[in-house]
Parts: sequence; C-alpha cells; structure tokens
Amino acid sequence: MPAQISTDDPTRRRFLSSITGGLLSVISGVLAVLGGGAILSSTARRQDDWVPATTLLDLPEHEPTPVTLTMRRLDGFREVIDRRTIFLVKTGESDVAAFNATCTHLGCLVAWDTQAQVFKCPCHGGVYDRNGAVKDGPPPAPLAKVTTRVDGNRVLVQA
Amino acid sequence: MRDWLDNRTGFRSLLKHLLDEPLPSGVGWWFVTGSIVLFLLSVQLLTGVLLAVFYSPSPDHAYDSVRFIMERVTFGRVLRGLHFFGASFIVIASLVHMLRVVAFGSYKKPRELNWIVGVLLLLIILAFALTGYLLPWDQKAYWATTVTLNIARSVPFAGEFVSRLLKGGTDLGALTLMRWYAAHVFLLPACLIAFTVAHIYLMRRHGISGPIKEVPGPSTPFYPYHAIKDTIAVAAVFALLLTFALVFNAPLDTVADPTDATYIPRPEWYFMSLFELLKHFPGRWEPVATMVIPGLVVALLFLLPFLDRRPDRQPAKRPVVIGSFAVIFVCIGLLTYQGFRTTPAPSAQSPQAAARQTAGAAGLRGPVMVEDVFKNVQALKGITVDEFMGTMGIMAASLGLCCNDCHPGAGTDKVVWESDESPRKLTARQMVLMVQAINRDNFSGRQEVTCWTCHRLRLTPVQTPILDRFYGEAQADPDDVVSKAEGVPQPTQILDKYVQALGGAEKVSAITTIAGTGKVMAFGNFGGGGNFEYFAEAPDKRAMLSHLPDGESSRTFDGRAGWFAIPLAVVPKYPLAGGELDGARLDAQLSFPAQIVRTLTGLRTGPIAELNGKEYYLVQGNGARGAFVSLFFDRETGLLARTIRYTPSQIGKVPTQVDYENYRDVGGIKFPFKWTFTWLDGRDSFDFMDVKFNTPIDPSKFGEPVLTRPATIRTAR
Repeated sequence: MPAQISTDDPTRRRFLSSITGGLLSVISGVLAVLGGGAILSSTARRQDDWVPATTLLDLPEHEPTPVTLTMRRLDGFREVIDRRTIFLVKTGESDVAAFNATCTHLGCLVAWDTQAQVFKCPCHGGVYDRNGAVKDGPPPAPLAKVTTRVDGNRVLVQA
Repeated sequence: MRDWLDNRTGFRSLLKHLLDEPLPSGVGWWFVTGSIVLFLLSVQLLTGVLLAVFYSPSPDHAYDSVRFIMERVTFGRVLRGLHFFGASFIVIASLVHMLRVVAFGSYKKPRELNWIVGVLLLLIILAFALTGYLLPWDQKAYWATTVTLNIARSVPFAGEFVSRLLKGGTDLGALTLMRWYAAHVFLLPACLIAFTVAHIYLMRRHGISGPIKEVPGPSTPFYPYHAIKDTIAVAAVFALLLTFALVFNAPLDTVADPTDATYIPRPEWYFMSLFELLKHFPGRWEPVATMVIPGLVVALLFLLPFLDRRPDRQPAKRPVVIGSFAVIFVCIGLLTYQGFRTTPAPSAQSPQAAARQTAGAAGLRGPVMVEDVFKNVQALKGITVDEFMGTMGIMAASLGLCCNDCHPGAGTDKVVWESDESPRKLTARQMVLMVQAINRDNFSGRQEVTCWTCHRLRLTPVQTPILDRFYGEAQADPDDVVSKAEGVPQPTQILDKYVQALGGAEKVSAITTIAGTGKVMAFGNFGGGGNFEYFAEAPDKRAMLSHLPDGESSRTFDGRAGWFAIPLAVVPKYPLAGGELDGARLDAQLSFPAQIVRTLTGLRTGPIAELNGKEYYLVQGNGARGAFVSLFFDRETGLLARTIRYTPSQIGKVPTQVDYENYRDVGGIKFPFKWTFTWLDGRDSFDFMDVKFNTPIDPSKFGEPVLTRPATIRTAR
C-alpha cells in the first residue's frame, strides 16, 4: 500500500464531492418518490358508495332501527364482502338520520334500549341519546353520523 | 448537534475510515464494477421490500396481488420493472465484475478468501433469480419451475428427495410457493447481506488490488476521487435500468394453470445455457448437464486462487486461466444463443408469426397464407393454409358435416369456394367470432370453448340434460389434456418398458434410419389403394409417400421444412407452417422410440385409458408452441398402441391419431406392421410388407414431394 496520500486543492475536492452528492441525491430522490408513491397509494381514502339500506316503509317513526349493510369492496387485490351495522332513525316524512353502531370508546357495538330510550354500550357502559350524543360513560365522542339520502322510497346511506 | 452525535457515536471517524481509504495510483474505471453490483443489490432489496408490502405468497392470491401491483399501486409497474430487469442487470454486472477480477488477477494472494466469498455471492444471486421466478404464479412461473424441479430430480441417488424438498411435498403448489418465497425474502437476503459485508470487509482489509502494473504516484483517497467514478457509473446504470422499467412491462402471463399442459416454458436468459445443455445430454446422461458440468465450473471458480498461485497478474502470463474463462464464457454464450434459437418464446409468439420467422431464418420460401390461396376469407384471416385446413376439419368434425355441406359442389368441378350462398357458411363465421370472443373475455384467450364443446357431432347443440343419460350408463369423454394421475407408473418407467418390449435399449438406441414399403388404403377406401414408402432418419426426418390412383399423397419433413401433398384437393401441395410444422417435427422425432424422453417435455402419466374395452397407460408430453402428444401403451405388452398429437389452431386443437398394430420382429426389434392414420379430413391404413433398419436413405425423399399431377398450388380465386 503506498504510504503517501495525494492531497488535492480543496476546490476540486468540493466540486467532485458536490457532483457525487448531487447524483446520489437524484438517484435517492427517484427511488424515494417511487417507493413513497407505492406506500402512500394504499392509504388514499377510498370513495364511499351509496348503499341501499332499507325502505321508508320499514322504518318506524323516531325509533332507532339497526340495519346491517352488506357491501362489496376491494381489499387490496381481493374483493371482500363487508358487513357494517348502523342505526337508522326516521325523523320526518322523508328524513332519515343514521349513526354508526360502533361505540367511540373502544369499538364495541352499541344497542338501542327501547325502555330507557338510549344507546348503551355493553362493554364499558357508554350511553348515548337518540341523536347519538354522549350521555354517560367513557365515550370521548358522539356516535359517528352516516350520510343518508332518500330516493323515492329507498333509503340509501353513504358507506 | 453533529458534535453531540460524534461525541456519542464517533461517526466522523467511521466516515473518515470508510471514505478516506487510500487507493493505489492508477485505479481506473474498471474498478467501478463492484460498486455497480452493490448498488443494484441495494435497488433489489429496496424494490423487493416495496413489492413484498403488496404481495401475497399463496396460489390463491399471488397472481392477483402481482396484477394489483402492476395495475393499481402507484408506480407499481415501475417498481416491479426495476426489480424484474434489475435481476438481469445484477447477473450481467456480477459477471462483468468477476471477469474484471479474473483479468486483473485480483483473486491472487492475499485475496483468495474474498474471491471465494464473491463466488458464493454469485451463487446466491442466481438462487435469488431462481426463487423469484415462481412468485408471480403465472404460467411462465409455474411451468419454468416445473422444469427446474424435474431437473432437480436428475440428481443421482437423491433426486426424488431433492425435488420433494424443493416442492415442500409431492406436487408444485402452495407449499412450494411459500417455501420459495421464504427463501427469496428471508434466507437469501440474510445470506446476501452477510456475505456482502464479508466481501467488503475483506476488500478493505487487503485493499483493492489496483492496476495490473503498478502506476507510480501517490495514492488517492476513495472519496471523492474514485467515488465520483463509482457514482457516475452507478447513475448511468440506474438511468438505463429505469428506462427499461419505464419502457417495458415486466412480463406477467396468464395465471398458472397446472392443467394446461400445452404451455412451453422458456427460462430467463441467464439459465438458458443450462436449459440448452440439457438437450445435449438426454436420458441417463442428464446428470452430466445438470450436475457434473455446472459442478465442475463452480468447483473451478472456487479453486481458482489455489490452482493459479503464481504472483503474475498480467493476462499474457496466465494463458491457461484466461483461456479457460474464455472457453467457458464462449460455451455459455453459444449455448444461450442456441437455446434462444431452438426454444420458442412462450405465448408471446403465435404459431403463424413463428412460422414466418422460422421460414425466413432458414432461408425458406415463406409459408403459404390463407389469403394467398382463397378468396373471401373473413373470420380466419392471417393464418397459414395448413392451419386453415385444420380449422375447416375441426368445424366439419365437430358438427359431423362434410365440405359440401357448407361449400356446395365441393368434390366436383362446380364448386365456388368463395361463394357465400350457403347460410351455414355465414353462421360458421359468426360462430368463429363468438367462440373467440368467449375465450378472450372469459378465459384470457385460452381455448377453453371450441366448436366441439357444444356441437359433439350435432348441427344444433343439445340444450337440455338428457335424463336417461344422467341416470344411465356413464359416457364420459376422455380428457385431451391429462394431469398426472395417482397409482400409475412414472412415464419413464412406461417408456423404459416400451423400449424393453421393442428389443431393449441397446438395439433401439442403435436405430438411425427406418425404411419400409407396403400397401395403403387411402381415405377409408375412397382414395383407393396403392403402394407406399416410409422413411425416417434420426433425429428428425420423416417421409410417408403414398402412390395412389389419383396421384401422390405425401407428408414429408426434412428437419427444417415440411410439405403436405394430397390428390384432388383444392390445394394439392403446400409447405407446412405453424402448428402442423411443429407436428411434423414431432412425428419425425417420435419415429425413434429412444428419442421420446428427450423430445417431449413435462411428461406425465394420466389415468388409465380404455380403448376398445382394453386398458392402456396414457403418457402425455409437450412439444413446441402448444403442441402435445398422447401415447397409449398396452399395459400387458408395454407396446405403443396409439399416438394422438394435438397442434393448436385458431379455433381449437387439431388432433392427428395413429394406431399401431401387428408388431413383428425385424432383426430383433419389434415394429408395428399395421398403421391406421386418422386426421380430421380422413383415414388411411398402411400395411407394411417390408421394413429395414439402418439402411442409407436418399435425402431427397424428405424434401418437397414431386407430384405426378400438376405440382403448383392451384388457387381458389
């Protein structure tokens, strides 16, 4: 191994270093864009579809009614059947409100207590009123509202 | 902050140690090859991790997940392209790096161990390529891996065990895929990283070897004086790789179909030489190609620093080493070239395109296309005359019709072939397009539905289940494509028994030519009787020349080109192309029983077949471009009773069947003296009177037949 190491002027060294750094940055940037794009692509929010839930005739006035929605959706490369429970409340002749039945505390499914006229969570005692607002217990937020639309007689929800 | 970090980690001294390595004077561009390999490996690791995020290693989901990557994931197509083409780039870069090391004598003392680690890294890279091939679970992956596993079976003594170990069971399936996936993403990367670190450590420990002749002058630090060269080279390679990934799609075939025995696999280019080598060592010599020769090359690589221990680094002073590597690489190059020349690209190439290409490459007159001969062709354009005739035969045989049912006057001078007078002809066109659309829209273009699927010798398909048949005697039609069955002997056992029944391997292998004469009855007596001559010459020439009252009927193949001639036909003689040419080659090769094993790929024994109330072993194997052959062997005598070869056409497979009877002894070898040759347009029976083995045959017999009637193609215009 030669003992003597050549020394160069700092300007040339800086120039070569910047070229090296620049090229490596470009390569890294391209790879980062490609990789980042791929990773982030699957986190894009999917477009919700309008799903038929029930008909107006099947909903009693002002009484939360549980409905299980069955939806096809793409789970990556698979098409899966999703089931989700929501509560529909007929609030007028053609007005329907909907709540996600999932408790906002830890994700258990709430049930409508017809006697107490509240939603109760069986897990940790969360209680919501008929509008989904928290009345008691640990839930940090009201039941999530689901957008609804009435088309003729059909009740559609966005899910 | 940097000081704080340096104080705790010492990263500055580490960087200084890594980057300020003193390099000998005169280190040039040849020394960038290692960095290129290292960079490409890093790209493979990165893209591999990104692909693994979306990939699912199960036969149910693997293919869909790869398609998802290609079609739905942002930049997924590019990432898979980088990974796919990156594999080829790495193999090339590794070989160039190795050749640089050999040319510069850099493997010599004290760098012997680093050379060995480098050889191990090359083997690991090849193992990556092999295991990665199966993961997309498409046709190419499945069938190429099937070939690999069959090659593994040729390992002496332990072949079956090795094959099962690789498969994870008895069949190529879920366990195989998971096993290869685990190797590809866990085991091999761990080995790769460990050996790469060892390689770099050893390189740093001994320093790079530098120029062959010492260049006077002070050493220079690696960074930035050599790093700039490395970076420029790496950037150029990355630009090229990215271009490949952007411009070309990494291939993805149709989903793996284990029942589609017509698929012809072709390995990636870096395994093509091994694939081709196998063709030159058939039968029991296979281990020479699969184990001995590759083993010797690898052993030579490992032992190189110990075989060449003199300190001289100049190539001129190391003629044996340089010469040996030159010979090995030239051989690999030639085998690769030969492999590409003789192995068709799977699925990408239609039989017609292949026919034109083959004819052109061989300097032959191009195939006769249907538009060259017939007028008013509409639904079946762009195919060769022989394939067109095959499609006509499929339609006629499926509906139980004759030519004149759609072409009034056929068989007489009054026929006007181009006439659309017959409504059946118009319907036939619609049906051809309908069936093609069904297959295209539902089966990725595979011919799952053909005329025969519904018609079954009827003009109008039956639409309602027939209860008497449902509750009555079972009438199952035999499968044309068969899968490996349980409880039957291996194909090689059946073929060995066949060769033994004929007279033994020694005698059968010694047959180089067959010449026979006899009486022929053509077209089930409609063509009248006459004499015939039969000639075959190993490995792939064959001629059947019938001298009939109305003229010559000939089928010839001279090893490259084939012809078909038949009297009183609309096209009396035409060169074979596409599927029929492949079929003629198969006929010629299979004329010699000892060649069956090396002619057909993917050999499998199907379920026991029944012909005329008797049971037969059914062995099936693949030829080129979707052709395949069924061989029926008598369970008792072991003799071949029937062959059916299937060649592809636009509307279905064209079957050609030969029944063999009346085996007699000819010089200690049994030969069938009665052949019944059945194809879609007719049936000829041949009774041999005289058969001779190993007599010289005039080469002109295999060439273009000479007709006693007008020899030019009579067009139907």
